[in-house]
Amino acid sequence: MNENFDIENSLKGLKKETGFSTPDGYFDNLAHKIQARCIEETRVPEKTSLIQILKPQLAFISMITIFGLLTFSVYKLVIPNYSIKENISSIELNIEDFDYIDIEEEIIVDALISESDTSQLKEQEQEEEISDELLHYFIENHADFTTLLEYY
Amino acid sequence: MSNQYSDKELIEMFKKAESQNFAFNLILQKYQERMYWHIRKIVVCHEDTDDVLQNTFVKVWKGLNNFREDSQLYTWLYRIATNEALTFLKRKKTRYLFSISDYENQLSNSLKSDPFFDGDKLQLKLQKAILSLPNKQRVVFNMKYFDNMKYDEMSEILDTSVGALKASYHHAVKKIEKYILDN
Repeated sequence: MNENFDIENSLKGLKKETGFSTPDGYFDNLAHKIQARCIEETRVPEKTSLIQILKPQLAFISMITIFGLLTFSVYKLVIPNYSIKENISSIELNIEDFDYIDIEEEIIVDALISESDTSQLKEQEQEEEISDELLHYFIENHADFTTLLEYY
Repeated sequence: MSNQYSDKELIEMFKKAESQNFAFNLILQKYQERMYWHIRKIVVCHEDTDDVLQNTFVKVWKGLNNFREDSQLYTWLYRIATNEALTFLKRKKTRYLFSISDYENQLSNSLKSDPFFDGDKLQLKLQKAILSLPNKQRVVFNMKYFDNMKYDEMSEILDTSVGALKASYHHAVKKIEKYILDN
């Protein structure tokens, strides 16, 4: 098979030119441009310190830290403390349970006194119970009259 | 002036520090146009060709000291230029991954209004037909049809067997013929 003949038949009438062109004077300055680029590419870079090498990573870490701090501050300022809120709401509920009346100072004081009285009474009762038990104990164990007197 | 020296002499001059820049300048003078048109046929756009060409010669500048001379200098240059151009197209295609039209379609559509395309209607149709080929097949077709390169040279540059290149070229011609007839 004559390959070239086949191809000439297939692509008959077509010029063997691409039709592409270049800007005027393109090749005149090309060598100079390429050589300048080559020298630039092979220039030895200046020695860089560790900080300069790590600069992007350090910048990224500081950015994350600042952002985290800002977010935390905003959270603390804007969003209220839930435990205080719960207490307030329970107090509010308790207040709502009571019928609201104008409570005078005297009533409050009397209530406080009676509370302390009842507590004192309770203490006295407890003491009496103990002394009765002791008395029974001494009698049963034939304690001296003088011991009894000392105690009472 | 660059033709005064053979490739071997240019390489020797380049490897000496005092004559490196001079040798490289001569290499540029000798091969810049050939490399440009080879790359241009692959990437089509002038600006892209300029970028790829510069990248190619930067690689040549960096690698020429280690060039083992197991092939011809121009074969080595062609290989670098081809790889750079194909890598460039691959990168462009990735950017167009989720686009409705692919990169080749974009190139094809922009050819008509390209200020650096002076071809007639038939040449425009031929370029569009070539753009419809897979990248490597396009390279094979361009090297054979426009540059009239021998299969042995192409085999060295593209690291592909002569048989595979012949088959690829044959298929490319058939596809182009069909495209031109259909359009």
